[in-house]
Amino acid sequence: MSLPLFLKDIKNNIVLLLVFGILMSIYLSVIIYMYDPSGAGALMDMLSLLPVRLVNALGFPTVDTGLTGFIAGLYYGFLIYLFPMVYCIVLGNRLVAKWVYEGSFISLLSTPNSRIKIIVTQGAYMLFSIILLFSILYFVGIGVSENLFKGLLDISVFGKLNFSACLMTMAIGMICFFFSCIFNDTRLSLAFGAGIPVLFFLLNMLGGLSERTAFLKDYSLYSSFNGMNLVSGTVNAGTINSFFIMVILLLFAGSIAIFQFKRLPI
Amino acid sequence: MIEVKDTTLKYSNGKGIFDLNFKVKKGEVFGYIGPNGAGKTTTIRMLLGFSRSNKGVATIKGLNCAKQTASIQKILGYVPGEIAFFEEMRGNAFLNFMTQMRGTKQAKGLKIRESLIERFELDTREKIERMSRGMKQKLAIVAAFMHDPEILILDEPTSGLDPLMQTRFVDLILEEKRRGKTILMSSHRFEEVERTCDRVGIIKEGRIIEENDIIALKSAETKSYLVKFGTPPNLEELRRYGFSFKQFTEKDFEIFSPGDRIGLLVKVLANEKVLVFNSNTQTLEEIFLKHYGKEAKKA
Repeated sequence: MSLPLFLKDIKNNIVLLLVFGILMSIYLSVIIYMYDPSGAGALMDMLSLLPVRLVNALGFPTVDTGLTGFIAGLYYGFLIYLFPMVYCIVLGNRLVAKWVYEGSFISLLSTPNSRIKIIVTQGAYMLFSIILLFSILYFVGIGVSENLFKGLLDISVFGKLNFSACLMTMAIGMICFFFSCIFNDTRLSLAFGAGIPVLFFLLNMLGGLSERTAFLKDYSLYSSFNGMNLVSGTVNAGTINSFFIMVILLLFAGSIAIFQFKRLPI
Repeated sequence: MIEVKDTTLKYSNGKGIFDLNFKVKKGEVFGYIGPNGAGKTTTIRMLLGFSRSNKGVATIKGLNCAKQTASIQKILGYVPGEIAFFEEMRGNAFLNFMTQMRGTKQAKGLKIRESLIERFELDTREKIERMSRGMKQKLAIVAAFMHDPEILILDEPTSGLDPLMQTRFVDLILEEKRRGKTILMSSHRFEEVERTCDRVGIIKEGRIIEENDIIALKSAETKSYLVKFGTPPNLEELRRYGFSFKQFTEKDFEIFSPGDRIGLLVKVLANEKVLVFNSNTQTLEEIFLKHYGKEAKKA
C-alpha cells in the first residue's frame, strides 16, 4: 500500500463516490417513505397493475409486509444491482486502465514503488470505497427508518443485508478491476469490465421472467444474493458471503499477478 | 553501472531490439542515437522494467531491471520520451506528489527542486493540461533530477525545448557529469550528444551498429580541410603521402586526411605557403548519415 497514492485516489474519485452515495441514499429514503405499516400502500397498488412476470423480472417479488422485508424487496432486489454496478464500471476503468492508456502510469512507476504495491493500492481503494458506499446506505437506512417508523426496522437483519450486498458489489468491482489490469486499452477494459456485469444483470433479470428461463440465473453472480431470502432467513448468509469473499480474493490475486508481469505500453 | 547483455525484446509486429549488448560505466555519459523506430525507447523501457525482454539480462548497478525495479528507482532519474502526466494536477502539486511517492525528505529535495525550477524558468502554478509541450518537458526534467539520483536515463530530453533551454540543459548535464553521475541519453540531436557524451552507441533496426567513444568515432573518420595556398602547391608530395584532394582552383583545395594522419598532413603542408587552413569538421551527423545512407537523408 502506498499512502500518497491512496490519498490521490480519494482526491480523484471522491466526487464519483459522493454522487452515487447521494443518489442511492435519496432512492432508499424515498422507498422507506413509501412504506405503509398498514400493509397496502400506493406502491403495492402500482405493482399490482403491472404484469406479474414483469414485476418478477424486475426483482420485486411478493412484498413482505414488514419494513425490513419491504426495503429488501424493493431496494435490495433491483436497484442494488444497477447503481453500484455502474459505479464499479466507471471506477474500475479509472483506477488502472485509464492511467495506463494515457501514459500517466509512467509517473507512478518512476518512483521506488513496485508494480505490486501500486496495484494493491488501487485495488484497495476500489474495495474501500465500496465499503464506504454501503456504510452510507446503512446509516441512511437506519436514520430514515427510525425517523419515520421508529422501531420497525430490524437493524441486525438490515445490517446483514447491507453486508452481503456490499460483498457482492465488491466482487463485481473486482471483475471491473481485473479487466482494467489486463487491458492497456480503455476500450477493451470497458468492454469487458462493463460487459460481464451487465450480462450478469440481464441473466438475473431474464431468469426471473418465467420458470423456463429460471436456469439463466445460475449463470449470474447476482443470483447468489437474494435480499428476500436473507430477510426470511431461508438462506445461509455465511455461505453466500464466503462465496463472494472467495471471488474477490481470486480476482484481486489474478489482477496483481497479471499486472506484475505484463508489458506496459508506456 | 548500466549493463545490457544479449538482450532481445521482440514485439508482435517484428520490431524490437535484438541481441543488444552495451555497457555504461560509472561516471560516463553515454549517447544513444538512432532514428525514430530504431529501438531507443524500447531499450530504455526495458531498462526501466516497463517491458520485459524475451532473452538476456539487463542490470543497473547490479540490480536486475526486470525484477528489482523499485530498488533501481531509488537511485534513478528518468525523463520519458513521451510525456503524459496527471493532466488535472498543477505543476507543483505533481512535484509534491512525486516527492511523496519517492519518500524523500522534503527539505533535502526542495533546494535542488527550486534551483531546477529557476534554471528552466518553469511556472509550476499552471495546470499540467494547460502547459505547452516545452513546459511539460521542463517539468519532466525537474521531476527526474530533483531527488539528485546517481543514474539518469533520459529519453530525448530536449525535445520541445527552445534553443536557450537546450543550452541550459546541456550545462546541467555537464554539471551532473562533473559530479560523477552516470547518464544514458537517447537523442537525435547530434550537437547535444557531441557536447555532452563520452561514448556513443548508434542503433539501427534494433541492433547497435557502432559503439565507440566520441574521439575514436570522430578520428576514425576522414577529415577534410579547406586550404588556400599562396602559390600552387607541390601536388606530387601530397599524393606521395597518400592524401587525396579536390581542386577548386589552382590555389584552392579540399584535402582529405584519415583522422590519425593529421600530424603528417601538417608536416607536408609546412613546406608550402598556406594562407588559409580551415577544418571542414565532420559532425556526428555525417558519421550517422554514413550508417543510414539515403534513408536517413530523406527523414
